[in-house]
Amino acid sequence: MTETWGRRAGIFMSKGCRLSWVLVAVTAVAGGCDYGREAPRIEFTPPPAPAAVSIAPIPAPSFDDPEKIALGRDLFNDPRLSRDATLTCASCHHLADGGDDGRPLSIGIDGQPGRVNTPTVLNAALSAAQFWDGRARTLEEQIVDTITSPTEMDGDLEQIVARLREDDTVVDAFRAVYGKPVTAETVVDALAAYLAVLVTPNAPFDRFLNGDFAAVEPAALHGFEAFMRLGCVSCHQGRAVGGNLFQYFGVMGNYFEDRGHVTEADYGRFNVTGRETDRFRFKVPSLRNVALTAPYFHDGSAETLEDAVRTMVKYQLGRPATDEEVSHIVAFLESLTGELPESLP
Amino acid sequence: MKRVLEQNTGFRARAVTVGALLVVLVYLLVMSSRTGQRDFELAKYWIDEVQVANVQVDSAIFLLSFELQMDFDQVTEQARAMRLAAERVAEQVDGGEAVLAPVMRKLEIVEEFKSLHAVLRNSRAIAQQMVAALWQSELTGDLQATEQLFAVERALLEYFGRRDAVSGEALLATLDDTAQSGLPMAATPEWASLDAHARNFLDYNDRLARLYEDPVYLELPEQLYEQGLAIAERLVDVQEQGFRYRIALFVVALLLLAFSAAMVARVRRYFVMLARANDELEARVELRTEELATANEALKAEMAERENVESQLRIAQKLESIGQLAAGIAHEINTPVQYVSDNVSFLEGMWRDLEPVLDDYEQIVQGHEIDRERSRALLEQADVGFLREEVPSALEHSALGLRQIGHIVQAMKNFSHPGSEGFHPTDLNAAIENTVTVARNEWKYIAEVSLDLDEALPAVVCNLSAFNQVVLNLLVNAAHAIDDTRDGDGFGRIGISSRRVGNRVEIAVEDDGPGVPVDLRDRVFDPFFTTKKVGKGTGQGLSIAHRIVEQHHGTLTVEQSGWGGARFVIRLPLPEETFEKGGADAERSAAGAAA
Repeated sequence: MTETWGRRAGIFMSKGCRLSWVLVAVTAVAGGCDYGREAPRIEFTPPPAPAAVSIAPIPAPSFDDPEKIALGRDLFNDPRLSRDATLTCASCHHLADGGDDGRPLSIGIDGQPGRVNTPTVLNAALSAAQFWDGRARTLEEQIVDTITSPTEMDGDLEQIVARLREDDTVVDAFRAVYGKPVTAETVVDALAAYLAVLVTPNAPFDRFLNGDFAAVEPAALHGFEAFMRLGCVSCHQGRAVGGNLFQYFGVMGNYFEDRGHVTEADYGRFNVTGRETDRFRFKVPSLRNVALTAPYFHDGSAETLEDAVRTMVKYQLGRPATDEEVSHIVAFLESLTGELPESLP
Repeated sequence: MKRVLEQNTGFRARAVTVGALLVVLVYLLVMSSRTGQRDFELAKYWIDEVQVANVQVDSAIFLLSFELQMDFDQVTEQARAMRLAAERVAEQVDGGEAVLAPVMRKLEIVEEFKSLHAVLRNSRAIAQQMVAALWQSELTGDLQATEQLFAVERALLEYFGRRDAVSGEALLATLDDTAQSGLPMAATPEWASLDAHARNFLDYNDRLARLYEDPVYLELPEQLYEQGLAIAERLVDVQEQGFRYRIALFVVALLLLAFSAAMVARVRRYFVMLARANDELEARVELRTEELATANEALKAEMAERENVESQLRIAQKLESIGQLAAGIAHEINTPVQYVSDNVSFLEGMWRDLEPVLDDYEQIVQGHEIDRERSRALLEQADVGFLREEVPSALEHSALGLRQIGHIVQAMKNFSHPGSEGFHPTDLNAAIENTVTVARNEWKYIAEVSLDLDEALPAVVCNLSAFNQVVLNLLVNAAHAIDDTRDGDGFGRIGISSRRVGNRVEIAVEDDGPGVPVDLRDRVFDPFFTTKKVGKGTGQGLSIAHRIVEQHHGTLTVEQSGWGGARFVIRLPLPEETFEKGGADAERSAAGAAA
């Protein structure tokens, strides 16, 4: 037990230490550069600012079972998963365009307006929970929820299975992968396998973290510094730069009062747990590919990254921020845009 | 073999025992694989994993609390591992669900910690950053502002260090003082942020403190330990149970082996016994066969001897009867010879008296003179009238006597004709008549013999000589029977009849003698059985007659005669039946008898 603990912690710590030295070196280099009219003032004080890099690069996904992944891809693009065969997963999750639909609020079947902004499927596998309110703990739960939600695809798993069984090529593909005919479990499993590889490694900032110091612009590095200093990193950390905790929307200010007409969707995690302390709490979204997923927030109220950063600084951090800091942070966030794996079918 | 098995009642009992042992063996095998040991082992493994993950979560929280770790990936990952492990425990064993509730509560606490910690961390950092920003601004240039800001920073640091109620209240008082001081510093956004974050920190710190006070936070490791111990104890129980099952399995297997070995040995012994019994049986059969062969030989020899004796006996009896007959026959012949001889003597005397008369008659016829006187005297002496009267009668009697002699001689010839041996179609009526004739002297002073023969009687295939002997024996027997009762006085009756009844010929010899008592009827045909006076018979007559009839596939029975005496009935089959069924057989035995 102790040995395991020591081993895991040791690896983590050593990696953290290594990266912190990298960061120190690079910020020193950046600080020494003359890239503008005014030399930036880089604050290393006070000490409680994050001492270690709390963002980790995304590991390349495993393609151990390409046939299953291909099957998941076909299902992802299969309209038979929706009630009237008009919607596919890809209808709302444009993979080439950030993995979301670019709308403030999603549009479900029959053109029904969704209650929240469509989250991206990219890097969803890295999140500890799915949906804004985190009601799905696993990808599988999220898939079933989305397919069967009456305001989304409104599908019926039995009906979907029956439809797919009529298609010999689909049946053959399932038999090849699972050795049995189509079932609800295998449909969900294939989709989950596909989602698991929809991660975007090789973002410029990841390349930077991996030692390619020229991969990011100095502005992005300054943005990272500001990101950490202002406190964004308290929640947006880890491999996914978020996605692994819940937080109040409006820690330092009443966002919803300022915005007006509070809806049930704004209650966030309260809708799942029913605990008063969870009211207005949301899953902290991953900031990976955030530059591609405008508009922002669960209500889609922020049209640009800059707006989103300003709103966050105001309501979450409760502190003033300069335009320069905001623009640097935006530059940093843009360096988080990764690439879909080349081997993706 | 079967008998041996059945005799050995232990065999079935052993078979039942082996069957029962097999059933027990299978039962133990099934039970030993159903102890659920694997479930408990897995549950133990997973509850250990829960414990490990819990420690990992706690250590991650520790690292996060002291800002030695900045991201929540590890704590999130460990929390997920803990949840999965707890769910596995709940799936694996009954009562494992008890783990779920505290673990889930712990995970809620972890979630809450992450949320609170992120804010708390920021609030502290931002408050200090704001203090630093205020120090740098020109608004803090005067003494009052400096002292106030210093007091605020000092209260902040004291509270960050102590995090207790006293320092918290002091911090709040200082913040309030500053706000009420009317200093320009208090109107800046930096101060607003500082004030908000300081108060936020107080609030969140309280919430975090309450979180740590949750009993689950402290009790979970102990609960997990106890749960793990309970599962381990059950695992040990199950292992012991499995061990007991294996011991029992081993013992039962040993028993089974021993019994099987015993059974095999027993069966082998049975086979040995069987082989031995077989050998003995063969030896016995061989011995018996030898004995039988010997006995058969002896029997054959005895039979041959017996046949020989019988045949000699028959010949002796035949000779005896012929000897007996000879006297009678001599007498029979003697009577006609007597009177033929008398008649011839008479005719001789007549001829002497008649001869001179015939001489005179010749003289006269030739014309010579005769002495008439003498001639008359001669004629008178010759008594021609008497002659005329007597001579034809004498001649006739003589011829009759000679014919009778010839008849007797012929009957004798027929009675023991050389060609009468062997089986030939025979006229039984003629044979009966011959026999009656031949034995005439045996009965003529005793009884009257009446024949009632069926003229239409068909020829019967038989040994004529033997048949004659049978009829003779019966006839003589009847005569003797009558003679015995009448004591030589009086005259009896003997009747012989022949007739055809269906496929048989029935020849009956009956008399009006004393008959045969019912209780002796079965014995009269036994050899040497006789009721006659000593010296009158050997007792062989009826016995031999019986055997002869049997050789002809016929029957000889005795019954009560209508005349009061005995009635012996010979029944002989007619030729087609005789020849078809056993003529050759009869011929052979008859030939043997003749030899």
